[in-house]
Amino acid sequence: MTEYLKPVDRESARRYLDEHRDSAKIVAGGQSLSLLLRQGLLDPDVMIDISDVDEFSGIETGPDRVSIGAVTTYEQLESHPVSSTVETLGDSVDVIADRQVRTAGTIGGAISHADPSLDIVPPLLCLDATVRIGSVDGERTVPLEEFHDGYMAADLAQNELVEGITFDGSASDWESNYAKHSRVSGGWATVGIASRVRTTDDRDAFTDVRIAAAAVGDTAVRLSSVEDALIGEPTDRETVADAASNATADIDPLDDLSGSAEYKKHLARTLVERSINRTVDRTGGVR
Amino acid sequence: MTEISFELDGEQVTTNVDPKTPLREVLRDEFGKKGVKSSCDSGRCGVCTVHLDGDAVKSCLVLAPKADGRTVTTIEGLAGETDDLHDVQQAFLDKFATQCGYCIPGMIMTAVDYLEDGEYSGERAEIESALKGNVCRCTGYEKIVDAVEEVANSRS
Amino acid sequence: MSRLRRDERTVQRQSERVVGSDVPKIDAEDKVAGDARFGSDLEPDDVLYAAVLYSTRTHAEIDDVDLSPAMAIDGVECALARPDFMGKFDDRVRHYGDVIAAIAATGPETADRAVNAIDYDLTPLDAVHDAREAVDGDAPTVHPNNLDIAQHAQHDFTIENENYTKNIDDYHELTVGDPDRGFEEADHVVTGEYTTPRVSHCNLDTHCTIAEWDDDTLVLTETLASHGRSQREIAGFLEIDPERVKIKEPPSASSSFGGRSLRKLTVEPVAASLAREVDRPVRLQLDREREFVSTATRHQTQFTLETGITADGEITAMSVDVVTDTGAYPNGVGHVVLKNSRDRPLDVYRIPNYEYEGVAAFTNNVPGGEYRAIGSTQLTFALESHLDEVAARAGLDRITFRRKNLVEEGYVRPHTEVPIGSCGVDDCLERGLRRFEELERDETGDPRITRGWGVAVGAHPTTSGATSEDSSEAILTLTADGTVTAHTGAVDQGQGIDTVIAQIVGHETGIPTSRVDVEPFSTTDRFADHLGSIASRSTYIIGAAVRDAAIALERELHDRAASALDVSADAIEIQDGVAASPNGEGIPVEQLLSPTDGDELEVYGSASSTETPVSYGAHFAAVEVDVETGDVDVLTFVASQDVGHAINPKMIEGQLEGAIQHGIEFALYSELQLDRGMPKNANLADYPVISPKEMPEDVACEIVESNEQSGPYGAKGVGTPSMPPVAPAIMNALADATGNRFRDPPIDSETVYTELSSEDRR
Ligand SMILES: Cc1cc2nc3c(=O)[nH]c(=O)nc-3n(C[C@H](O)[C@H](O)[C@H](O)COP(=O)(O)OP(=O)(O)OC[C@H]3O[C@@H](n4cnc5c(N)ncnc54)[C@H](O)[C@@H]3O)c2cc1C
Repeated sequence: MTEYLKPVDRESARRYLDEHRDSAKIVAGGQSLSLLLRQGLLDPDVMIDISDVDEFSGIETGPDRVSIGAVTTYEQLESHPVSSTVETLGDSVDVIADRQVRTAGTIGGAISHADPSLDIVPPLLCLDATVRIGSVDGERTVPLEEFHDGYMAADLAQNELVEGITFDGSASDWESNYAKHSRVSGGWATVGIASRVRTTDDRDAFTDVRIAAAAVGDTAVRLSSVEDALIGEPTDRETVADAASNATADIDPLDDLSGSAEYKKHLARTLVERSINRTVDRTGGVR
Repeated sequence: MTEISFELDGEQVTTNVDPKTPLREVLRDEFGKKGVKSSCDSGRCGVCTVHLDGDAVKSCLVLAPKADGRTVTTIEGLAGETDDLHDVQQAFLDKFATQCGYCIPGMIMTAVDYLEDGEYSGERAEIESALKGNVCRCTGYEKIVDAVEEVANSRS
Repeated sequence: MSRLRRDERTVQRQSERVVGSDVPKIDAEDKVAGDARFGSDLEPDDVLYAAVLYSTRTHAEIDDVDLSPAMAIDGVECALARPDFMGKFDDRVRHYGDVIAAIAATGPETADRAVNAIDYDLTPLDAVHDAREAVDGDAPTVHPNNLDIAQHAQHDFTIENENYTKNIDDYHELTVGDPDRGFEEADHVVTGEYTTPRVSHCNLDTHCTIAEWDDDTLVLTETLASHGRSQREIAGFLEIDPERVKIKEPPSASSSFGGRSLRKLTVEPVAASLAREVDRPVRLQLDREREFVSTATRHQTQFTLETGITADGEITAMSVDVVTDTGAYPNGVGHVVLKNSRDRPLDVYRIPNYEYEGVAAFTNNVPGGEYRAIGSTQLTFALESHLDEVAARAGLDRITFRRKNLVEEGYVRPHTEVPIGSCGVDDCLERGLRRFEELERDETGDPRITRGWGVAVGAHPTTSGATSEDSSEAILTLTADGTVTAHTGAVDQGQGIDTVIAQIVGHETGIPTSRVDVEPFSTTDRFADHLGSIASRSTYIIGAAVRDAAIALERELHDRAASALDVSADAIEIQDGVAASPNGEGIPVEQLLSPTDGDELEVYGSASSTETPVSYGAHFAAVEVDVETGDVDVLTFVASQDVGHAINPKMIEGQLEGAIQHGIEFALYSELQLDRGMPKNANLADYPVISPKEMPEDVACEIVESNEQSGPYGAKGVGTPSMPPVAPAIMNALADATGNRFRDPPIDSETVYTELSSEDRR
């Protein structure tokens, strides 16, 4: 019979995990885990529920860093000011699943689950987020972009867990957006695109551009071909449209029930264009 | 087996569960809360929605041990001790929001969560978003949204 | 005996017109309170739990089933392989999700474990997955030697078409007038091919039955909308006397949309076999995947339509060719698709020359089954799409063209002697259009957005039309507490028939609807209703029987009150359950029970009809298409529906709104995808059902009353007839918006985008 452990502090969470390692499974909100258990895909001997660990909970905003604890729920993120200041986060959370799943599902659970279609990942990639990983040996950090290293695979040793995610949220001169396509409202993304840009003071040209995509391959990815094509370039619609056509260079979508690879490539181009334009509009630089 | 105790519809309860069990099963099978429904097996349909410490969750996606030490409210306990219906229940009745009624317990629990969240505009589009995790097959949702809209307007 | 003075009565005066008003649903309180108990909520103490070994092959012979590893598990009470089930089961599986073996155990987990322990060997057989291929002489045979299991064709037929040689479930043909000449006389002849999707009802409460043998009588506790037909079919299948099958309704019926009209081969006969073997009640519930693949979907159907019209838009001839996929088992309804698609064009339009050929073929696909306006929904999608194409070819306005050819009251259809009764189709069009125009929106000005609108007319008969006469019985019982219990064959699956019955009783007797209970016939009742709540017949025929009984009850109460109050019966008026004389003396109806009644007064009512009234609708849709993504958004929908007479307008709106939801899914979203019979999306994560977000922003219902002479208060069916026009109205709007005709729904964003972008390239 499975054992259920409920550590209340970081130390015991790390220790339990170290003791049980491969026979253990972390429980956060349980939204994805419940389905894996039901489908018989997992049958852990020990479940370690970290949702009561204070150190893993909540959002801290320092002068230049924003730190989101692993068991922070979508709902908590949604109602936190950072969702308005970093709009791509707010946009993303707004279109994830439904009210109930957002109430229980956590950011750490999502990142650990590593599904390439998760909506929260592209915004975090655009924020150059780093994942804070803990174990009895202490903490290490990995850029999110490297953390997801294959289809539903994360760079976690058996005695490691995700404790939080950190990014630079200080720069108020960035604008951002998340654009999602799904078959029905609240459904998983056919394609999801986050964009985050900074422009010259007159808003005429891009100085920094970050674009990331979900549901376009084994992992969510940054679209550097689009980014490179825009830096230093004017923010007008035509330039953006041209650059967006590069989106397919960085992605490798599959044919599946949500759509063909061809269609997803097309959607990626379209959503990149739309997302960047919306972001530009948010800078006030309407063309 | 893991022992869990929680407040269920105003009553303190204790039981032993296999921790892999979803809360829904415990509520239905252990405590006879058949007002909590069961349907899709994939987290989509929302018929099993209950409140955990006042927030709507899908009880098929919540592992039973998560209820330990907390408060669970089902449709059967929504109106509390009184014989009256909760105003959202009443509005569903008044607005003809029920047909077969299978989705209704979960739907009402989500609607109450939305209405008790403090910040709502009561606009139809917003209500529709709030309810999109609850599937109804009979009504086309129109009269359900009517009911929630009516409560939203009457409370504000 | 207490006597009230009339003016002293505390009257919340019962409205004179209970029928016709929005009486709150009598079952709503239980439902909002969470007290309603459905079939799957029932778990009697001594019940055993069934689990079934389902086939993952689409066609195979069962060579060997070793049940001993399953029987060795503690708690397993019984294990049976398909060949050892009762009745007509044989040793073949014919579709993914068909039944191989079954277990009954003390708990559901034990039963599941036991099923996984069964060892078995299947020899795969060649399979056929397309109805057109199935009828070809070279196709694999789905039912070689056991056509009985199929309960196939319900009528005799001979097939002259030499292409149709095999796997025939049913066949219909019809020729009216001289089609060849009709086509010759035409100025325009247009042909089109259309297909319709395998849509699942997606009832939230999955199928669940509790089977129990009481001596030689099988008692099934579950929602089955048609008790009579289900009894006959189950008995026929199990090879027992129909009298020996009883159906007990759970306290609340689960939704159906046709999904629970009739028995399913994978449910009742399996549970019955296990229960017989162990002599204990056995509960069999399907999980969600099984609900998709082991019950039935709407029949996937292929249409070829050809229409000839004159330059000014008069239809001279039409030809309809239909091939429908019965799947592995017909569930007794393969022929209904054919009959409905044969008759529907003639019910709606004046077509002097008409030819029809339809074949229903067995395949190794998930079975087709009853689903809200079976056959009519498929045909109406094809026909109304086609007529838009015809109108366009001739340069005619879509509405004017339809109006020119519509039938009207009194019109004698060429294939039947019976003139059309009530017919509000023209009113539906007129009022629907007016409402639709009121809801018109301003243009967006966004070049990425294109908009269009569509209209479709449709019809579906009230009563199943399966027999030449339909009839029903009802019993009303007045008890000493002043309540009336109505026993009928109706099953309220959410459509509101119990409330309608209460309204009728209240309306006729003056007893408040809040004091009317509605119950299904019990398993011991002498009375019956052979069809139950299917085919939108409940209000029409059961309602009529209730009305008959209610009038009898009212007369009886008048007579008794007259003698008690010493006035003439004519002078008595019953209001709020109190019978009063003109001079103000009153007596509560329950005090009119006499010692000879026992504790209750029982009256009987019945009704029959040889008519098959047709309910018409004209629906309008406005859609918006995002040309860059292909996304289609239904902005506005107006359902203008002829209901005969609206007994409860709010409940009718509910029926129309629900039909809109199912029609949007048919048009744009939902299909059980099969790849050579193997399901690709048999779960609610992958199979899209729509949320309130996909419903139109503006939904409007126009209720047209054409007063059907043969129906109670002029009423006729609404639930099923409101379904057929929905999808074609949307598809016609989509064609209007994009300039491209989509003929194979559901049309997802990718299909729209791909089509529009390939056009650009041209
Ligand atoms: C019906 C439904 C619809 C959904 N729709 C969407 C959608 O539209 N968009 C979207 O982006 N997502 C969607 N999701 C997925 C949702 O975002 C995730 O289920 C959720 O965020 C996971 O968080 P959790 O806390 O519930 O994780 P859990 O389910 O608790 O855990 C998920 C996995 O991660 C592991 N894990 C959890 N936390 C940690 C940790 N801190 N360290 C190491 N490992 C850990 C667990 O062991 C498990 O394997 C949907 C889910 C459901 C059920």
